[in-house]
Amino acid sequence: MDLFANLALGFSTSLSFTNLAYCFVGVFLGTAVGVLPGLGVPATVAMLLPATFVLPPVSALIMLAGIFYGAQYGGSTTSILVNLPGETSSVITALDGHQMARQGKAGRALATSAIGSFFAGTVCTLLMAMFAPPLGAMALEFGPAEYFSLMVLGLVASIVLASGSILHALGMVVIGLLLGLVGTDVNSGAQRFALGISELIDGINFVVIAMGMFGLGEIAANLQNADTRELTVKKVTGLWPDREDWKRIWAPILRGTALGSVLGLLPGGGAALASFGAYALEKKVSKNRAQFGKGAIEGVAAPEAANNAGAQMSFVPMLTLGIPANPVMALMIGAMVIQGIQPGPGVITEQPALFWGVVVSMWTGNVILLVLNLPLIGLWVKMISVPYHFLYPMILVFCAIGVFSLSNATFDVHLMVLFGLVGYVFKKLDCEPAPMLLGFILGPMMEEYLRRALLLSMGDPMTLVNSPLSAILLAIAAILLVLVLLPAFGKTREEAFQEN
Amino acid sequence: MKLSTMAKLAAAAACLALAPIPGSAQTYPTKPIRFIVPAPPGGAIDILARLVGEKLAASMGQPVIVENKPGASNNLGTDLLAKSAPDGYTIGIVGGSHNINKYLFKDLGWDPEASFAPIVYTHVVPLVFAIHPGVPAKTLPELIAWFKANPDKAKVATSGRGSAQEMAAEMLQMMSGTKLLMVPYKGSSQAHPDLLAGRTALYIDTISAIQGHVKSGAVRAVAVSTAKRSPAMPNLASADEQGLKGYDANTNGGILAPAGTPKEIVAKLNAEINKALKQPDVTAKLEGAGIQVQGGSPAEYAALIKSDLAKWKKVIDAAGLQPE
Repeated sequence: MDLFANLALGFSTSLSFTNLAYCFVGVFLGTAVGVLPGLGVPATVAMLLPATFVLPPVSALIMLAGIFYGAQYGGSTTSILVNLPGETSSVITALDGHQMARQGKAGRALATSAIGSFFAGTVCTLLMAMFAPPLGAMALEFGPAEYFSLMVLGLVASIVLASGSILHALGMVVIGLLLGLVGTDVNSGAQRFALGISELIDGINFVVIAMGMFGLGEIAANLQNADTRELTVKKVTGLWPDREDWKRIWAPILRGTALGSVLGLLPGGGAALASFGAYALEKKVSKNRAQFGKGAIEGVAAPEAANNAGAQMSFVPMLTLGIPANPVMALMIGAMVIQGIQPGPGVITEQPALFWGVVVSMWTGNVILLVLNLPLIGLWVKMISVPYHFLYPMILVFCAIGVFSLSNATFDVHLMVLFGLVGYVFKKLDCEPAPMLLGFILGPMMEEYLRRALLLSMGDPMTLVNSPLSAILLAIAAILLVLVLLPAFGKTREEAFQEN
Repeated sequence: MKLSTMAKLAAAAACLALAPIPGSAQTYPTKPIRFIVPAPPGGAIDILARLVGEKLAASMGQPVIVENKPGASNNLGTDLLAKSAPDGYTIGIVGGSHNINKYLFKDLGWDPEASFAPIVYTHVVPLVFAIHPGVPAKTLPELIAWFKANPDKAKVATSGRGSAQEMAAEMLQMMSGTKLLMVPYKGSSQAHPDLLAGRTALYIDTISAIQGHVKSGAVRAVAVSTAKRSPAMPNLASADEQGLKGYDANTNGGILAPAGTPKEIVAKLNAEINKALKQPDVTAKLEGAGIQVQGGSPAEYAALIKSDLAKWKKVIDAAGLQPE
């Protein structure tokens, strides 16, 4: 059978000593990059790019891929421990993961995140081995109209995300949308809300807002309150999920993996939705939905599985079509081109060892990550028992370094401080930053895809419902919106929102 | 007494002005050189800067530190370079936008000619007219005729305001008399899926970004944008050859120093960078990525900047684009 021959070729390539070593270097670097807040994967990959020119193409790609999915693991660590999401995908993990850490369950949260990610990684490796070429072709079915409708669905789902008042959530989404407008309009080149500041011409970087709102805002709020100043308010209980936890996480992991592997296929922002979508889904279907936002283990398991699945499946359009799903993939295409390999459908037939080697290395990489991360959990958990007056200056310094390194600009550091203040005020007002970040990420994409869809259809708005895919997505969004709003008309409104 | 102090000071100032400034051409360089890249890591000019920087460091005996300062269509980093000390310890690399942005941005804060001392012309990247295979055209004249017969299908992908891809499309519109609908994207990787799926008909993209799709047959190449054919695709006729006389679009770049950098230092850097560009490993890596390595004197690069500025001004005026 082809599948086994292919996998065998993949294993023999990825398990060679050299490739295994580069895989290790990659996932190790990736974990480090993910743990250090702000230091982004694209920058790391770009800086290592020239160094990979001298490596054999397979080793180079295996290492670069390792950095990419290794960072997904690392990013969750800081999210859970210190509420600092350095990557878009770990914003959601912070919601319940950090609550778990505060309740002394940091070890369980970290282990759940590692197990969920590993499971998703394994499933996705198999999926890629079986269906990569047809799945890649599916990505092309998604045009601007379909993307727009998907984003609408994502935005509606973001309201479900909020654990407090729905009005606050809506307000935060709108603020996020408005912040997303800052920058240059892609169609006309006009500057919007840049206030004549040239650093704002490209818009605000996601990391600046995330570090400010989550990191600085959180620290400021903690300092004010002596009771919550320590990161762990309760004694650390267990580093490993117990029987009860296992029962609660297996289904969310499965659902997260499924959602993540579909959304990850879409170049152009699909993967960003994976963890948000998985969380929103769990919140609707879980029996323990009342605990969401207060340390529900399902709220860690599902998005972590989803973001790892999404990250891994985003290789499919790159390897099969030569279409990068995100900036890191674009850099990897650059690496392949320089190595004399043309990414595209030809890769599988012309470079089978490379294709299958990289695919299987993702699984071996996931094994390495599991082995690397599980023993570290004990260490991480000890780290947050460090007295807060030692810990918070360190977090501040790392945030500042990370944000500065985005584009070597002190302006970004100042902006982060500003968002820190904003984050503090919002925290006092009981407004959660997560819906705002989602609005910030999805808003500009939604606008771009809508305007492009209308441009391509010569201004005919029917283009949004003429495609069946787009029509279905909009219909789901409408149903979801009705479901969310329905209790608002009933008498149980207040209770429903407080509990949700 | 006071007067004499003043006189001494004046004399000292005069001496200082006459004496060779520290770090002059004979001893240059005596400290690390900062190499500004106004774009994020990973793009053509970043790869070039890192490859050349490595060779420069080896040949001049001082570290060369590549510093990425991306933002605002390369304007932020270029501004930083323009305002750095003209002592030879800050140099920078620019791309195609250098000769375009003057006409698209208000208050740039720098001038592409007056603010800089050109060191060397480093590279040119040709563009390829890539069409969806469903478009029934094999040559550029056939494509132009098809656009004229099907104005509702004349959808051209661009990489946003001021990009080489947009400028090339505007140049096509200006010279062929067709009416094209420009559909802006945020770069090649976003534009490719819609071109591959046939939602747009044409994308004039860099040879490095599109050649994979040409080879796989996902898109059809009908012309190369430079006056001469590209060594990377020697069988592809240029637009000029196919009857669009004088059509010449590309994205090119070079290395600059701030205006006022001593001539001797510019000459030394020019010689060293020319040497670096000729090293076989540098050439091989760049050509592999679709970047054609250039070289030559500072004066030649200055002349190119001047002629490119004039060329793009004409296109931008014809397209009616206003500075923002």
